[in-house]
Formats: sequence, structure tokens, C-alpha cells
Amino acid sequence: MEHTNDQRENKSGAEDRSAEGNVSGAHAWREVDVPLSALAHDLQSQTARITEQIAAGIQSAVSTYSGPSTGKRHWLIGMAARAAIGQLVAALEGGAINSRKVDDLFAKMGYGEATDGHEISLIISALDRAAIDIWDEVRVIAVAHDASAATLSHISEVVQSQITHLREQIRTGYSEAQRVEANASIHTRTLDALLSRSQIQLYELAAEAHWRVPQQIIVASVARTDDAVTPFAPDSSDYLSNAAPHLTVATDAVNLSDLLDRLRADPAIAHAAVSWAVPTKDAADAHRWARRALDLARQGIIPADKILDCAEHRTQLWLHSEPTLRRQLCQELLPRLLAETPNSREILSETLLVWLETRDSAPAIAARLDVHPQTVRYRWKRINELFGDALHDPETVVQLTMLLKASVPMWKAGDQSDFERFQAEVER
Amino acid sequence: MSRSVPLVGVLASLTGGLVAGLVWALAGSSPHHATAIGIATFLAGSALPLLAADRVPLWAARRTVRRHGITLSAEMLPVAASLDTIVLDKDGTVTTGALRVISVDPLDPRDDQNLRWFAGALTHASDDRVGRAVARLSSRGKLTNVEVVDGQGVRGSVDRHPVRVGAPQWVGVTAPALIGRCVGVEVDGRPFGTITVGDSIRPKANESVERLRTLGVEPVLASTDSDANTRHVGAEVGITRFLGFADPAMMATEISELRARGSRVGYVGVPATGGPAETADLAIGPHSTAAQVTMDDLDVGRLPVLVTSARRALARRRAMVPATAVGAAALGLVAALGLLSVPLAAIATVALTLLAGAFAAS
Repeated sequence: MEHTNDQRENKSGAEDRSAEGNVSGAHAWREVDVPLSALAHDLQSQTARITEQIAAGIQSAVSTYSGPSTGKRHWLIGMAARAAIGQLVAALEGGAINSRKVDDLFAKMGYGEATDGHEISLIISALDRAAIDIWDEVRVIAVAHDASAATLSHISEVVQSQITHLREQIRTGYSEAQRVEANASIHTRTLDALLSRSQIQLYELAAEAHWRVPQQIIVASVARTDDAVTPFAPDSSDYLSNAAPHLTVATDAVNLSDLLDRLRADPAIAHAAVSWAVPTKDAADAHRWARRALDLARQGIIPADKILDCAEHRTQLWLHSEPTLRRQLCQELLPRLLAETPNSREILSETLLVWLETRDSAPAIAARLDVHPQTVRYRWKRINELFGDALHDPETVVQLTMLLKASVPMWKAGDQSDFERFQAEVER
Repeated sequence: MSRSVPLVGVLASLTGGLVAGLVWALAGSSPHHATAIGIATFLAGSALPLLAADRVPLWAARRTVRRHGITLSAEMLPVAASLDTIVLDKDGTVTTGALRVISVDPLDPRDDQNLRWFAGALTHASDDRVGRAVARLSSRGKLTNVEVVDGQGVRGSVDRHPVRVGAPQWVGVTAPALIGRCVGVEVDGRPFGTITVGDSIRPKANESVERLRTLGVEPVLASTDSDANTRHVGAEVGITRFLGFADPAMMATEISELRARGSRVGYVGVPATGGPAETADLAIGPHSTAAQVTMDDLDVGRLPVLVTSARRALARRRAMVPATAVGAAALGLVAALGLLSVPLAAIATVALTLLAGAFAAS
């Protein structure tokens, strides 16, 4: 789907902030009667104490931020307070400062609050409380230096200006988080509409978000590594759902190669099953095939490559579409084979399947299986003993072919459930 | 005789020469003339022709048997010529020593080729005679987990099918009542059938046995194999006297008893400590052993050549020595009569020697 330009950004909000990056440039210095550098020096020397005081005070006043003094939240508040004091000190010293780092920090704090689902008023009130604490400290220092009322007024303006600036950074980050969440919500709802075949809802969402519904779509089912900590980095054209245990990604079929590149490059992805291009109305089927491909790879029935091309495994996907039916047919058609020893069962089923598929001579089958032709003739005699006239019935032959085609890879991968089921039936 | 004949000849010629010279000297000949006659007499009657008549037949016989792969010293020729009984170890004499498959008996007749294939393929991993015989039934297959079970047989997988080949009771099959040695075969945990191997009899063994008998040498067949198998092989080659289940000590005892009854007994087989080779009059074995007579292999067909050559050598010597002695004596007399000069006496002696040697070697 296509997005409008002003919605194309999907950033953390760290780059989209107020144009003011330099606090000191926002004020015209008035004539003061004490050196502000001396005040700044005194303020800086007390940063640790003031920071601790601010953090304790905020955690005490705002219950949402409460926690131990050794906790991570206490540390974060302290870090923000230290940054703000450092910015104020720089402003008082009158030097040129680059407050971009401090701005980024407060913008990220706003973004994090939105992501955590907190009201913005909480962090704003915390900021206001911190401002009061800082002003109190600065006033005490200024009085200690016999600063005049005019000087105090000037310093107050500086502090207020800084607080206002920081408040704006918080709001900016908070708004960015809300925008991203809104976009993600649209993505998820669109994917849900695709997978639930709700064509009407799909087109409504597309109209709402000014997107064009593609004609052909690719659906991928993604399994991440156990220690994955970073989410899959979606493209703006992807639809994502993070429903456990797999991530589902749907994208316009024209974006297939780009999607494959991103899947291959992501180290947090263990396996990704990618469907072939299907009409958008068949997205749900493609999703089912992709998830089944992941299951078959997990069971060892198909190779567990990082990128599973569902088109290469269509036969197995189809054969395993009715697992209950397969199990029942197995018990019904193969009892004498199931009664053989595991080694004999594997050998005979493998040979029978090759013959059913190829109808080749003993030497040709022997070459395929890498055994002697006489071995094949011996196996063929055994197979005839087990199946008798059933091998002359066309219907049975078709069923056997499909059944073995589905079951032999399972058995080779170590799935013993068919035999255990057979044994349980025999013992009953 | 062989050592004494030349000695007698030397003594006789010396005596004749001395007597002749003395007589002529007493008769008034000059000392020079008497001495010449004495020397001529000694030369004419010398032992050289006797030596040739005595030794050349033996040398010729050894040369003859060597061309047939038999090696022996001259002293053993009289012993070989005197044999009237020969005990043959079955393996390698009347048989090649190798076994061959004589019967393949699957439990299901349709499994004949399968039985040959799996048994033959697995026994390529076996290094005993039975395994080597069965292995000739098929090519070597893809073998895994092969294990030789001492005293029982060999097991492993052929193209992933578990197979066992070995003693019938180990495999769980009943051995058919056949001559030979039987192994059972099991495939995929199921008894499959049996394979019977037997001795490969040498193509002309019965002719060789008949020739021995014609020479007056009675063959006896001995073997560690069963009575039935030994009797069967004996019947195939025309030997009626046999000794089955016979270890080396039993064979040695049998030979001692034969000798006690007055027989001159030879033994053909691989010598063993305390075995038959130590009690026989003549032990015949492979070149790699310390037997008195050694052969390229123990083929019974070599034995008539040995006996015939030995007897012919002795007969020739018995005929040539007296004739040569008479001829030497006649020459000596002629020389003693003064009718032969010394050079002529020497030439006559050499001619007689060559003549005796030629007749002895023919």
C-alpha cells in the first residue's frame, strides 16, 4: 500500500523537535551585578545533591514513578535532572552550548511515556516539580552571592525558558509515539482484514489511510530466534501482526525481493516461510500455507532453511493439509507395514514410494536408492507379501502414493506417532 | 652302497696297479716300463666310472622330480622308492584345499537369488574357507556393522538389511543331510535357508591314486573333517581306506601302527609338532616347511612321479654299477698285460666314465 508523504516517517521522534537547539541564544543578557559564572560554578558543584533531591522528590510526589532509590527509574530521573542542570549551568556561563543531546533525552522520555501508556500530565508535573527544586537551589546560591533583585529576575527567566523548552521536547516525543502507534494500529487492522477475508473492511481501511489495495500479495510467517530482542524492522509497505508464536508479514507482491532481502539480513529471524504471490482475496490461504510450512520445517519434514519458499514445498503443504485424515488412512492402509521393525518399515516404505512414483525397473530403482538391484527385487517380494492384490487396485495405489509421500518424510524425521498409535491399537 | 662303491673301486685299482708293476718288474722289465704299466693299470681300473654309475642315476632322478615341483636330497630317494603306503591329508592332496558351493537351499524357492545375494555379499567380509566359498556366489555389497562371532559365523547389514551367515543352530535353521559343510542364512531376522559347501576335488586325482596303486603304494585318506565328508572324498578319488575326525596326533598314531605292521609309510600334508610327519618314514610337505621332501603344492599327481623316478634311479644304479665294475676290471687287465699305454689307459677310463654316465642318466 502507498502512504502520504507526511506519514512516511516512522522515527522514534528524536529528530522531529523544536527548531530551538541552543538555549543560550534565546535570551538577551541584561546587566547583572554578580558574575553568573560564579553562580554557575556553585550550582555545578552541588549537582549530585540536587539531582538526588529532585529524583527523590519526584518519586515521592508522583506515585507512578515511585520506586527504590537504587532502581532504574530513580537513575533515569537523576540522569534527566543532571542533564537539565548541566544545560542551565552552560546557559548561566554564557558559553555556546549544544543542547541537542539534552533535547533528545527529554524527547525520548516523552516518547517512552506514550509507549508505556502514561498520561503526559505525569511527566509534565514531574518536570514542574523539578523546576521548583532547581529554582530554589539557584535562588539560595544567588542570595549567597548577594545578587540583586534584577539579577534574580534575570536568572528566573533563564530557568523558565529552559523548563519551557524541555517541556516542548517532551510533548514532541510524546506526540511522535502517538503517531507511530496510530500507524501500527492501522497496519495490524489491515492485516486482520486481509486474513479474515473482510474485503469491505479492507477497502474501508485503505480509504481511511489513503492506501491502494494491491492486486497480488505475499504473506510470510516469521519465527524469531529464542534470544531475539529486537523486533522485525518493517518497511512502510508491510502489514504486521505480532501474534505469538509467529510474526506475520504481508506485503505487495511487487515488494517480494525487498522483503526477502530484509528477512535474510535480520539475524533475529530463525525461519521465515514466504508464500507465492496470490490475489489479495486469498491472503488468508497464503497465511495458512506459510504457517504450515514453518510447522513442517520444525518437524523435519521439509528442510529447515532460513527462508522457506512455499512454492517449492507445495506438494507437502497440500499433503499435510488434513493431518487427521492422514493418520486415519495410515492406520487403515498400512497395518502390516506398521507391524514391521523400524528398520524394515523405513526400507520397505522408501522402496515402495519410489516404485509408486517412478514405476521403474529394479536396476533403476536400485540406482536411485544406492543399493544393489537384487536388494530391490528382494524388497519388492516383501512388499508384495505385505500388500498383496492391493497394489493392483488403482484407487489404493493413488492413496498409498499420497500417504507415503506425506508419511515417509515424517518417519525419517523421527516422528514415531503412527507406530505408537498402531501399537496401542494392537495392545487393545 | 653309494659311499662304499667308489672306495672299493679306488682300492681295487690301486692294488691292481701295484701288482701289475711288481710282476713286470720281477719279470725283468725295466723299472720305467714296469712303472708305466703299473700306472696304466691303475688308471684303466680307476673308480671314476664306478662313481658315475653310482651317482648319476640319483642326480638324474632329482632333476626329473624337480621339473615336477618336487625337491629332495639324494638320500631320500631310496626311502621314496621303498614306500608301500602313503597317508594323504585330504586338504590339498586329492582336493585343491579350497571349498566350493555344492548346494543352495532357500526355505522359499523364490528366494534362491536373494539367498545367494545376501549370503555372498556378507561373506566377502569373512576370511575363512567356508566364507570365501560362499562369497563367490555374488559381488560385494554395501556392508555395515560387520562382526565375526567366534565359532558361530558372521553378521552385519547388507544394503541396510541385517544378515547372519553361520552355524545352522546359531541362525535357527535345520541343516540338510548333505555331504559337506552347511551354513545357515538369516535376513531381516528371518531364517532364509542354507548353503552347503564341499571340497573341490582335483580333476585327475583318481587317475593319480590309481597310478599309485599300480606302483604298489596304497593310499590312505586322513582328515580333521567328518567321517562322512572324508569317506565321500575318498570314494570320489578311489581311496577306500580313510580316517575322519583325525587330529595330527591320531594321524601320527595311525602311521606308527602301519609301520609296526611292516609298512613303509609316507605322509603328505603340512607338518605339525607331534604330528604324522614325525612318525612317517618319509614326510612330504610344502616348500615352506622343513619336510624331507617338499613340493610346490601337495597335489597327489606329483607322487607317482616321485615314486617312479626314485625307483628307476635305484634300478639303474643296481644295473650300472656291476657292469661298470666289469668294464673297469677288463680295462685294468688289458693295461696290466701291457697292452695299454698310460695315455690310452686314461682315455679309455674317461670314455668308460662317459658311457656309464650316459646310460645312468637315460
